[in-house]
Amino acid sequence: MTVGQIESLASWQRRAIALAALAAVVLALLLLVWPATAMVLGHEAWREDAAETLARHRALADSSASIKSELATAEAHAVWGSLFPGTDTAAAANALQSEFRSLCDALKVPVQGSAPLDPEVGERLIGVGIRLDLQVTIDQLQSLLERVQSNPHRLALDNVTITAPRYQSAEQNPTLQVQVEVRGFIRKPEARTGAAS
Amino acid sequence: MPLNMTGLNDALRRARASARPWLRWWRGELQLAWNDSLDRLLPSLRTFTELQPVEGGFDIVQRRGREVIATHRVAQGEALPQGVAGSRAVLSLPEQEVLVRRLRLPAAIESRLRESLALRIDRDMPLRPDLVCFDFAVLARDARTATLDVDLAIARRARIEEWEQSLRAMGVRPIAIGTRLGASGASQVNFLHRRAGSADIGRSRSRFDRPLVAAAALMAAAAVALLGGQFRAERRAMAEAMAAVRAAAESAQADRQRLLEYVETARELRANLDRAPVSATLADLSGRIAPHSWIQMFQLRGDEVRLSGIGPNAPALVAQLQQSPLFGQVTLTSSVSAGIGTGEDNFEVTIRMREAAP
Repeated sequence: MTVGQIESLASWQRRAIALAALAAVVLALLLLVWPATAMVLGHEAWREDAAETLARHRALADSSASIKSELATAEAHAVWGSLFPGTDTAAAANALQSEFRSLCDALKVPVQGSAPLDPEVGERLIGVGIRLDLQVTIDQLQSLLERVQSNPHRLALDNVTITAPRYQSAEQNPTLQVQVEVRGFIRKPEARTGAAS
Repeated sequence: MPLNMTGLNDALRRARASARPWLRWWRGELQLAWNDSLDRLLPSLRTFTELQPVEGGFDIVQRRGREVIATHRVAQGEALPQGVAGSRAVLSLPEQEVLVRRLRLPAAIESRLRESLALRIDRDMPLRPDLVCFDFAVLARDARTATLDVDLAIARRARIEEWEQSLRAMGVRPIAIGTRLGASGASQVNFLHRRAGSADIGRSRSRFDRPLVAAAALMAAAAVALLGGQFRAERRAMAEAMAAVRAAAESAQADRQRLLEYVETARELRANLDRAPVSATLADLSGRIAPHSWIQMFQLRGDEVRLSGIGPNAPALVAQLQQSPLFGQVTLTSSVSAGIGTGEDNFEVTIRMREAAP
């Protein structure tokens, strides 16, 4: 279409063509400006994000030596020796039972009965336990508690019921009926990757 | 393959030549659309007064765009009619004050037409360029012969300045002083636009604009290239820096995670061991039981202790237990006389342990 042909069109048609051409030019400019703006803004966001990630990585890398040293200290800490070895709850329950019986035997405390408890599963540890019925004097009980506290495998006592005879005197050392739940701890299998043995 | 620069140049020239009429038409059409919009939306911006000097006064035509609003004739010295005073004014000079020459010029000089005409006035006419004002109108373009028909209008600078002053004295604002050219008088020249004569020489818009446009385009291209280059360099540098620290950071992160696992495991063990502090509770309790009071049952479950026993003064025992740093709330849940004349009570006490400090 030539200019002559356009000029022979009706006035409104010429006006429409001119305005459409203007809109096309504006649109073309926008199509250039928009992606360019998006590119610049996108790069700014990327830069901010990348700088933050880099700073975090550098800080981690810089503190690598101290983290390693703290990790070595943590791995070697005596507290891990206070857990029963392995992750098998049955084996740990047996070990706990024989260990506690040894304590009682050493104090000549008769164990009247014992029953295993259901394992108590925590986030990183499993508590394996037994319920015991004992007959002890107050002195024996005190010694037993002391030995439990100083036992190499840490033991937790809970649900303790101590029953004394109805009539007592200051001169007597009565026999007490004690029922107690004793728990030892092992690591959960999936937690071993973190707290390596 | 070598670039055919001459062919490329010719193609560009042809493209420019074919685009020029389109662009001219488009600009004119948009100008008309703009003027029509102004006429409708802001008519005051399109209102002006045309003054034509006549014998002893002026013929005055008030226009809004092309529409004639009113006509007047005022004598010299007479006050201007209302609506004319203060308006924007276009003065058509008397014919005898304007020298008009029709010229046929090569189309190639159109982009430097003003400069060419200034040179022509200086060279061909007995006029000092600094004493005249000139303007022109392109009347026709012949693509076949590649020529332009141009009307060149020249007026004395001193006379233009006199007219401008007298128009201001009359109370109007001169926006154009010139004349109409062409067969139908469609082209208006304005000597106020460019009063310089010789000053125009060497300062044409085209000579100025081209280097400016070229420089702007070059700078824009350079800016884009610079920005793109900078973005790429930044990404590369960041990737290198990241690669340099990534292995160490990942290893440190894994170690940190393991360390946290150790800490959390130790914390969980501590919480389990502290859950029921049997030894400490029994030791504290035995020190607080008053003489002649006997505990018959001690029960510890979690953070709750229940005691039952016999003694002479249960409330005193409760008061004593409340002094313990291990015990929080101590409640006497029951107290019943052990028998008439015994002076002793069977009591039950419930104790809530204090929360251990973390």
